[in-house]
Amino acid sequence: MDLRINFVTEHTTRKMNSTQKCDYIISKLKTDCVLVFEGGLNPEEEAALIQETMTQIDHQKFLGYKILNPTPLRMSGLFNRRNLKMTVIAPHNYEHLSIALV
Amino acid sequence: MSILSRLFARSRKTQVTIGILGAPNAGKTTLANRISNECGNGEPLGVVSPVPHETRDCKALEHCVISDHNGSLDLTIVDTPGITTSIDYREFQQHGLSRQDSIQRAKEATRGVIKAIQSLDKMDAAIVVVDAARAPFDQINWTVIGNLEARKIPIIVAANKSDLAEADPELVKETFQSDIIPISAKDGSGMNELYGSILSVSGM
Repeated sequence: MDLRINFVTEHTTRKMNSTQKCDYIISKLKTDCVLVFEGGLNPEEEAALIQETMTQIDHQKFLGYKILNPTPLRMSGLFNRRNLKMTVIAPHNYEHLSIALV
Repeated sequence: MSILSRLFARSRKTQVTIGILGAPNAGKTTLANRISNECGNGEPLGVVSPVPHETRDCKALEHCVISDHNGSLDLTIVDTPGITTSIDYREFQQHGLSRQDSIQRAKEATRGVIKAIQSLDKMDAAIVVVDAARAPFDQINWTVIGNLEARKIPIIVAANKSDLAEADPELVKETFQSDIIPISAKDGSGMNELYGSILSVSGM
């Protein structure tokens, strides 16, 4: 299976509300994309994503997702240092999520 | 006592709602039935099954009274469906269910997950049940933990199935990086410590 990864910057999601984020994520998951979210999702957004996912599972092609919140990376730049938080979301049928992140 | 526990203790409630949360097949319903039995209810709260998502609706046991020398606590125990991010009906087929029954079970399970998340708003404290005989990291649902913490709901981690030879409660403790209570909902060991912890987070 070919692996397609979408890197989603904070700039892209900054103006999205929780519902829009959920819709965006689920639409991408349904095309078998793995999503890497800069900035991650907060607990309320993750809960909303689960609830929306449960309403859209069709028991045929879309069966949900797997989620991974790796330890934030310490980023060093010339003028700033910050922790880069990410959330990785993959379709349910993607078996090697943790391996891909090593 | 944790910061969250101390915050909760200030309210000193005498009636509290305790949610039982955890991964599918961690032993949530077995624990709920144990508490129900020890409260003298007589009736089990739910059916226990090796097939995941046997509990597909929230079930509450009201007026379960526990007490110590400081006083009594009137508990409402809520047994919740396992919260997960995916449901694959083929998993149920592996347990011998027909395709039609598996899909029906999966449909009911999706609705159960939604109800379980909605039930978080009504909880005063939560018992997170972990199967100590399985790898604990695979059972941590950070979404649930994060939402409990965001709502300032105290968490009690119960390392269940500690009666089994392969159980490793210390690994559960390392994984969660918090105090845990080894229990066996099946044989009742550790239940007094669990009740003590419930009283503690409730400010008794």
